[in-house]
Amino acid sequence: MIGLGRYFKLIRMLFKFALMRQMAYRAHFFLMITGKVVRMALLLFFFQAIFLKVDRLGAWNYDQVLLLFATFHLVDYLMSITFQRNLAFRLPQRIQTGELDTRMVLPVNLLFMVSLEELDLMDFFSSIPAVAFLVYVLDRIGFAFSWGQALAYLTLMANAILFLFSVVLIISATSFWTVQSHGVSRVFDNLMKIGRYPLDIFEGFWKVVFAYLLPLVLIAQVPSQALLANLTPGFAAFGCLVTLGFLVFALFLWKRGLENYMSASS
Amino acid sequence: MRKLWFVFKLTWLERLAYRVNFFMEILSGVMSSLILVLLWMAIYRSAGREVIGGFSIEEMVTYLLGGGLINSFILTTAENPETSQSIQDGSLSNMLVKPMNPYWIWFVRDLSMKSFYLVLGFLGYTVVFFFFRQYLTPVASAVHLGYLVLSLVFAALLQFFLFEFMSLLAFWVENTYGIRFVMRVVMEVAGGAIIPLSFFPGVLQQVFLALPFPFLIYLPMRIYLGKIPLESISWELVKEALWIGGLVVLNRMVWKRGIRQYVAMGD
Amino acid sequence: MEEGTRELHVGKLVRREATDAMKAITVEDLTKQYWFFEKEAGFAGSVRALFSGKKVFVDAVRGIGMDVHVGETVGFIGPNGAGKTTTLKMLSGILHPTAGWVEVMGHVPSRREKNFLKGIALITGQRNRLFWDLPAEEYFEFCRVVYEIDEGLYRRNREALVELAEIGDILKVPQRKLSFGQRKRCELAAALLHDPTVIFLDEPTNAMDLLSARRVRRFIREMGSEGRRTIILTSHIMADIEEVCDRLIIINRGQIVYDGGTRELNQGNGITKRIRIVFGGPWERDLVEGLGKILEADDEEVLLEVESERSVEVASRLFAALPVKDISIAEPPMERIIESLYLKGEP
Repeated sequence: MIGLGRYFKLIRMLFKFALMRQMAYRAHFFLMITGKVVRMALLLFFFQAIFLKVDRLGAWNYDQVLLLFATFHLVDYLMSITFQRNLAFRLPQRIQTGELDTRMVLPVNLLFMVSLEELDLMDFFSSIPAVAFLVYVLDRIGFAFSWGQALAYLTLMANAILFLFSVVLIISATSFWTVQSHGVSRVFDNLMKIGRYPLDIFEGFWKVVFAYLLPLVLIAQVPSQALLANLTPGFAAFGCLVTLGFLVFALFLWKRGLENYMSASS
Repeated sequence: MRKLWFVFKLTWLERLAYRVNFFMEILSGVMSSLILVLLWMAIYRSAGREVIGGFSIEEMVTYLLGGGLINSFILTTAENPETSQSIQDGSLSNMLVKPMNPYWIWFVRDLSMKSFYLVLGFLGYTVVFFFFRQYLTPVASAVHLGYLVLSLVFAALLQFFLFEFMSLLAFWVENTYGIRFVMRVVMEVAGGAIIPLSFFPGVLQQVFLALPFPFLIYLPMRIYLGKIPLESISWELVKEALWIGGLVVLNRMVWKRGIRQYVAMGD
Repeated sequence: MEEGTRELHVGKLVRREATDAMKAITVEDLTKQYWFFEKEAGFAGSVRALFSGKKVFVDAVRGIGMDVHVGETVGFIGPNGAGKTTTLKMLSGILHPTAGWVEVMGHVPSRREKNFLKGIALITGQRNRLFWDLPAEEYFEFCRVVYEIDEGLYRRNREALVELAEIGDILKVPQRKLSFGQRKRCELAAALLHDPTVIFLDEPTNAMDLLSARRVRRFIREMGSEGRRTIILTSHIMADIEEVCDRLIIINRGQIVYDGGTRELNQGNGITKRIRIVFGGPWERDLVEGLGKILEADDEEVLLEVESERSVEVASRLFAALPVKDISIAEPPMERIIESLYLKGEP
């Protein structure tokens, strides 16, 4: 795996570039971070307000919901720091203008390049309070550290990110054929937000949809459940398999898309 | 006057051309509301209660869906970057040579967009309304309906002047996106769209109510549900009118100063 | 498989051929066909189109073939939409051929293998937005890591290229603050840092002022002078090709219309130039008539059509014999050249 070293170096470089880029607009940078932190805080107040009137959300008590909340934000931030804007906005743009050509000619994995070209550091800094909050919540629920659970948590978070990556890639790859975007990524944004609620409070139809068909549970609920020790290994495995399925399909679509690339420019 | 009507129509046509994109935006708003409704229905069910926080489940569902509908034209137009952009990229100069005051053009465009999104919103929400029809409560009375309409008009104006003020800061600031973003973030919650503001604990609630945002959704929806005594409604609307008045004055000042500076700079 | 041969699969074609070390590029029967659904404007139209399935095919490139040897500088020229850029993009791996075979430096471009990409460079005339808000020197560093350029080579190349491109004083400026010409020169330097052996240029002087265009042409000539680099460039400006390339390939409607020397093109192919002369005094028609075909004439001006290779000779004769106040020699438009070639029976 000698080749990987180059990729790590590139990631460091892309990180440096992102910093340089965003430091050029310092005021904007700080305002945006403020906005994101305020948004997170307001959402917290929202959950607090609900719990002033009710005891539990389904089987989830206040502290557990906070854990879900923290996990969701971490996953969300990881996604938005890395590939979200790059795939959902920049990729269709580059396909349309033909700018993708310049990237295609570089001797580096194109998907890597296209997913990470512009890292978003605003969310990197906003995620720091989120991590701090996670630690606070773990303390509240009196989490007894165990390697097994910590590993399961991190693995399932990685699974969540891979799942989201696949979904975003599938949506973005359609630009190879349609060239225009029809605002589908907006719909995705809102679907994503569903992940911050404990989805097993839903019943029947919706439960099936969000647990099995479009398993948004995978985003935050499943990793949290690992920490709370009420996740069945069966469902965890199912979650990983679903992600694998989505990933395989996404990569297939990506490959096909490249073959169909028309490189509109002249 | 006719020219402004022309601008209004033109904006509609322009939006019509990209109606799919805009409808997708509305659709995602509908989805947000839907999730909230489902969440609250589950909350009511699991808590086994009929009334929470003074709201019955029907009232809550109506509140959230109605709030969502209002958001279709309040939240969407709050993201409008046109004013700031034309100041920053200099295209304001082109507007200044024309015989219409750019400020009124922006105002009319905003109204046009709001009406467009309102129509799109109705289209989107009608389906949801149908599915949740047994949970919806009708408007408290005809009088309330009248006040509701008035409060919506005020809400539209309030939101415009508030965000336009921020956008006009582009005369002095390189990028207003950040500040408008923070404002939108606050509006999303303080407007009352995701939860009635009465649910928030004391201090927080006072803070929210001191801001102009509750007039946008919290007030109209309470009027609809008849949760405010009639005498208080007029007082709330007067307060809102004062806010609007203050913002209009502020906008005028900022516009005048800004234009003077803009023109003097020779872009 | 016998030694010294190789099997290549491209599209539906499988070929076995003797490897030729001297050939940089081999193209045979290369075809590119685009298709899309013909649709009316708007969303309803798009949806309807998905079901009606009325496919429209565009044959951008139709079975072209060529061999390019290492060290050659070749120009593709043709009218817009002729297929020259499409061909270039198939050579650089950006587009997948519909049929046929293309091989560059022993690789199949569309496979986009690392070693292939490390050996080529692509420079387009459009705006390059890769890291455009960063200074050029950061872009160079990026190239160093991506292309895995050895330290020593990187330092030497960088110094030489920065000097050649005259960008020493703008290396630390964010590229978006540079003028178009400056940005292009930075891009050129960056593209050559890894010492590519095949260089593709797509309309390199597009949107450039005369001075910058000349500089760019000089730069390209320098690159090609060493003899170990193969350069392919596309353009619709004859000057680009005439000044830089030894070999010219004219592509029209997806097919090769001419493949040969640049100089030879103007000789004996019926290609003409037009000379417009403004006289400072009375002039004699007979003197002019013998030199070429008079297209327009009045008391002060004459427009003369002359065989391309004789244009300079004729011009000097006119200067010598008549009171010439102003003279201009115009290129025939690309379409006329192609027309002449067709009339001449060139394939």
